[in-house]
Amino acid sequence: MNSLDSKHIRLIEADVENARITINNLSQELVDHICCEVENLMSSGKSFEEAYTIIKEQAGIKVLQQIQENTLYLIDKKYKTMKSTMKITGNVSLALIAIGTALKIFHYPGASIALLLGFVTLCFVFFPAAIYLNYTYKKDQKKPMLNLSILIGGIAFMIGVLFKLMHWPGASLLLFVGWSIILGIFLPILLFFKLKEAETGKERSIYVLGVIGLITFEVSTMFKVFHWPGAGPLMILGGVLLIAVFLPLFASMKFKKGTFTMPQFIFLITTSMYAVVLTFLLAMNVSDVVMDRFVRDEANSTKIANYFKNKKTVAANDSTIKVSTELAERTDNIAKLIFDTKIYLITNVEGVSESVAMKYVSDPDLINNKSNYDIINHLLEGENNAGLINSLKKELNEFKDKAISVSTDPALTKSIQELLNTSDKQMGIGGATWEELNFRNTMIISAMAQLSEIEKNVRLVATIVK
Amino acid sequence: MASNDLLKGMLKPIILKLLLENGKMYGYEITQLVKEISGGEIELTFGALYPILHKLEVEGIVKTESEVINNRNRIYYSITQKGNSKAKEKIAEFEEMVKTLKVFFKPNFGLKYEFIG
Repeated sequence: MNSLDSKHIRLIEADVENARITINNLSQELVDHICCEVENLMSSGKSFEEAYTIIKEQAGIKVLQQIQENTLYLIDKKYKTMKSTMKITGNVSLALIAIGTALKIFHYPGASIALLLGFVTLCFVFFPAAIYLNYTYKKDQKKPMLNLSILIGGIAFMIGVLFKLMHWPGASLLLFVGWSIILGIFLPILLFFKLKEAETGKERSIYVLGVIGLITFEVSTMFKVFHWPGAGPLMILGGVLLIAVFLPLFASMKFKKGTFTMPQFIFLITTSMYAVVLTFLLAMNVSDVVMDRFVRDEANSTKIANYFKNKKTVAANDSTIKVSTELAERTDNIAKLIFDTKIYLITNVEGVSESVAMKYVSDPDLINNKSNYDIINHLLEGENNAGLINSLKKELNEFKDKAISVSTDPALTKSIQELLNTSDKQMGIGGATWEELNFRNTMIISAMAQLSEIEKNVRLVATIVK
Repeated sequence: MASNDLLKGMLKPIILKLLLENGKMYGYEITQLVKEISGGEIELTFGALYPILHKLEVEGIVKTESEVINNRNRIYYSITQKGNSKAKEKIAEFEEMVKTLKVFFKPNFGLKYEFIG
């Protein structure tokens, strides 16, 4: 029988090495076994390349890993227990979190309990079991810092998300700690080991790109959650780096090395797409609203400036002072109506009590359902144009008419009309009412800002006579 | 060829029997011998073989030794002293089972009475 030369043996060893077999003797056995099979085929006249191609189809990386998996299952009771624990708790926690989220969206009871149970299972059973398995049985044994940092950072992060969802105090601190550990310790160590593993300069630069993309993306999410400026552009930069630059390069490298199978590739692409597309949607959605608010704010400032420019023309006399008193009264009524509207929105959208909603008014960060449009439409517009927003419009119009009645200057009248504009707008065929323009399909935080703006303008106009 | 379901419980006694009779053997040798003896009826894949060998090693029934052959390490398995009686016990148990099965699958056994009665 022909025996393989050491060059060919080394080739086979390298391929088996790629399967990351860690059980004593097993990798040597597998190399020997594959060599024997190849030698057997070669003795029937095939070349090494032909023979090894045939054998590789039966003994690819996946097959070798499956052998290791089956062996571990048989010889290590702890491994078996851990693995089953991981599978069960992984599914259970995922299901609980999904159910909790669904319940939360539809405002059904039980959301908090489902989320709490889901997160606790995820953080304290599934995640540690997964890390333990990785630490003990994969070739990561010599990297305790890597495993420890992702364990602590990951748990802090996930618990932080839970706290944030539940509006418990300390969420920001937990998230901050989690992110700091992941960004400051885990990712650099990961990069260090990847660079050490890399064989070529090109491979090294791909890993550096990947880690930079990941860090940018993580930092942008952190910015988003803490409402720091610049989150949107950072997120786009990180996302593009990860999806458009790193992934194609990484995949092509893995394909060339032959350690990548098609299903793995499809899985990688699909999962990363999901993650990034969803985050993108979130980022753009929110920044769109913020942008809109900024633009409108600027227009509003111009209106206010015009108002002040023209205001000095109203002189105080007996009749104007009487109107002034009435305007002050009406201002208080409108302010109360606006405050009540905000509380009404928060209690209904968030499902919290009125006393909690009061806290939310002054700290809108606590508001959880920031992206539910339908409920705002429903709550504000009410049935048959008899919703809160219609009452507000009526009050505003009466207030506006009263203010204009004392204005002697057309320019001042014009700025009052601008500040308290409640007219509908003709657009295309249909057009839109003032209510629709300002409150249709907005999120609760946007609606609340809009209400505050109206209140501010009313208070301004109320000072018309001095 | 025997299906995998049928083979599952049989492999352990087969491997033990081969090791008892041949002294020390390595993995590939075992798969080839099984193929040869069974006339190709039983195909012991390496995916099925190595987990069982490692299990037997952990149980202390077999032991391993490493030897460099043709520029690579070859792991040989042999029955330990302690495992000898256990191996024989398992084989005997299996032979008993085979006997019972043979009776069970005799033509018409057990069915005859149903149909006639």
